[in-house]
Amino acid sequence: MMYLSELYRGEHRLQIVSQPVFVKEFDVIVCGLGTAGSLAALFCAEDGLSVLGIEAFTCLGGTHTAGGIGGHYFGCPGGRYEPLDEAVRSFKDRYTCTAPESRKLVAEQALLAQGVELFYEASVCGVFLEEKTVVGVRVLRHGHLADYKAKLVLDCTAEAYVAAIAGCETEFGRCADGQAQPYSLVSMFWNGERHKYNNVDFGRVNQYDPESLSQAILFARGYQMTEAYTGRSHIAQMPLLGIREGRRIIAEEQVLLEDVLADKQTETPMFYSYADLDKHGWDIAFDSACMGDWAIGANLGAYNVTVAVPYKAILPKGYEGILVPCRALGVDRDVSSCVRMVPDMKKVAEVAAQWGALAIRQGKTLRQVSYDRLKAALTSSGCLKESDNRGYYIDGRKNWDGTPLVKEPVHWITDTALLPQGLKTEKPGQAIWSAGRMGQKALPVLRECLTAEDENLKKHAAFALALLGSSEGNAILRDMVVNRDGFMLRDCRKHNNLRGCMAIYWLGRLGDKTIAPRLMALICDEKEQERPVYQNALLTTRYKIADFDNIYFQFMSQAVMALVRIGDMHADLQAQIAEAFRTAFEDGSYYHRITKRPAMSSEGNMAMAMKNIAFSAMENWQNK
Amino acid sequence: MFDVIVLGATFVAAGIAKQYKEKCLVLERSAQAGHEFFGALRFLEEESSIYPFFEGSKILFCTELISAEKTEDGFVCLTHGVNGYDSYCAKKIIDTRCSDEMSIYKTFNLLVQSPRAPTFADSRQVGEDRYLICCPVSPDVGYAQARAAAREIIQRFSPEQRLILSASGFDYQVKAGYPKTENGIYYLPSKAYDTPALALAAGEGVKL
Repeated sequence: MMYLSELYRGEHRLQIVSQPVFVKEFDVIVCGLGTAGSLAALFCAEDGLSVLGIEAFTCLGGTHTAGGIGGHYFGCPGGRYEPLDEAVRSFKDRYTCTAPESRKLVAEQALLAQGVELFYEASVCGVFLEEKTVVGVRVLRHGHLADYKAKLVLDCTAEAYVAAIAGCETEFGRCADGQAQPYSLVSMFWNGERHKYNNVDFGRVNQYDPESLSQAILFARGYQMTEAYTGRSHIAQMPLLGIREGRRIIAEEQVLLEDVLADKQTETPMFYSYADLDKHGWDIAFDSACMGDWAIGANLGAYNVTVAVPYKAILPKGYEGILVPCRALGVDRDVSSCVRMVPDMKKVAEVAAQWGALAIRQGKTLRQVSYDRLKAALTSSGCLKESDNRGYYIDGRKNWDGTPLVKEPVHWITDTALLPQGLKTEKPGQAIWSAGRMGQKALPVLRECLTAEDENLKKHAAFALALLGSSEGNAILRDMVVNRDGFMLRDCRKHNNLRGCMAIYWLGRLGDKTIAPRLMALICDEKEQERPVYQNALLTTRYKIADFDNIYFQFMSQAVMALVRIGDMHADLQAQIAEAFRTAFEDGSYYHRITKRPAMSSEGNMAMAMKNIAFSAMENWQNK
Repeated sequence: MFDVIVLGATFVAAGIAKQYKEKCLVLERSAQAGHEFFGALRFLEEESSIYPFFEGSKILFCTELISAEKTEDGFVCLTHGVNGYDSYCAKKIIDTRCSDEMSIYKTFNLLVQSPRAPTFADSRQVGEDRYLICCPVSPDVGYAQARAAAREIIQRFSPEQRLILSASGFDYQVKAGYPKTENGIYYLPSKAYDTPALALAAGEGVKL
């Protein structure tokens, strides 16, 4: 029996279709022709499959063309996409000012040459299913609905849009308040020498809520970005908004940051991702505890990690006939910002095409295709290389102080006797994390460090103890909070944490009741900003964001999250903390101490999120 | 029920939204207002100026009309957007979009960096060393075909000429006979006006 699944105001509607009338049947329908989709369509067609490509916009390439993003950072190169990239480069060198324009023309020509049928200005608004097998889609194009059948549907919408219509389970946003990374708008400008793109971040948007999306578009496109255009002449806004994060499917095999950091890797990788876990915001306090331990507690946020991405991460759990080869694949939110680099999206396209071609040619279901066959194809193209499995790395162009960065692999300390040496430096992150990896056997050495004369050593040992779940260093952590320790650690090329903020983070994670009154005072005191730490010249340079007191925000946001965690663990403190939240946030004056920017800006959104998270914790406590 | 549903977040729509505010619902397929001019790479310097006109009205981007059913009170419109299907009622519908059928001249435009005027029939200077080339296409031509034709032109560029941007929307000249009413829908295509300012004024002049 066949069903048609559709969404009406975000809710599923399922109807039995007794006599479906399909306009045409294809081997593969690719929904969304962005970075991944355009290549998936090309590779499928190169493999002799009949392909329909459906794209909502008026060109293919997505962020890489209409979004105005020409380059990329990190990821591991290699695979079937390389000849097309070379053709794009060569066309750009001769005929276009930018790579996105070249890609628009060259990639489209490649698809047409392979016989891909292209529907522009078209959207999928229904999915046909037989049990849990996707067999076709309903397409809206130029105001008309038409149905198309396929042996395989590739959801390359970046939003798991087709999967969501089909009823696949999905996730979206961070746990604390459901928000995603900031969205951006890219504009092209002329700087007197070259045509360049400028990327400006705004607040957060829920792109599945028509009103939220529309307000975001109105705000970003109507915003007068004078500071971004001094001395430049505006050419054009890019037609596509830069929405960095979308839904993610729950897949047959899921990647979790917890596993990545415990060095647990899949046995069936399709490629290796390689990047940091950058969330494009300064409100890292609101991310998960696992992410927080790594990025705040050990100050390793800009370290690169390698993620072995399982091939079944693109297969929605329980479904057949559909793959989700795009950033919406099955990874948790923490890992998602790493597994979305441009090379990853090009590789995932190749995997989907290979997997689909094997299934279709052999008349098998996706699950019946042998991993070994797939692996052989991916290895032969260079998509899957064991040499890409390079663990943790310090990577990038410049250090935090602008000096050239020396790229090097991270070697975790395995000898407890070497921990103090690492902990006493201004870059204690590796030693802190190493202690965590060692587990209980690191405790005696760390306890000894607590009594050391060396200030760095005892403070950083307290962080390492906290990572191990021990509160033996809490007195030292509390001192750092009371004294607003503004020392900035130096582990990372960017987003290094202040020691006082790290101490707040760990006391929150440990549920330290003793620090609660101090944290409540911090968030409520209107004169908090007059303390010396907020005037520190180095910090005000490193943490500078126009019209935004970032140092104050760091202390405030960490204090709020720590109080939420302490309240969650100690019901007897909830009323007191709730009162402090009301005092701190109810009259809205806190907002103006943090930023002068409007609420819909990236800065305004971070300030608002603090209040929202505090008030939603209060609500949870009351409901319980 | 809205007093009016306006199809297309065009400059005409901006003029209507400015006066009817919350009584007006604007539906736009793309993620950009004024796409009829900016998508065709026209008047780009005015890009951010259109958005304030929509303040106070309801506007839905990335939303497309599927059908408009006539009722006693007006229309029930079925739409599709980012959260699936939806429906809205309005007393009137004003369609400010431009379609192939309305056009007598359709072009696909290219913004080009060039130290001198390109040797192309329809090109105009839009800045220092910057020209807009308007490549005529037949009304039934789609984007892929238009870009293929544009690519041929680009491949005839001299070494100092470069493509800056290609259009994300077609440029139209509208046939005579608009505005007009058909099946109860008022057609007032924004591209019937030569400039954003004239289109905006036309929208401001709309009386429901």
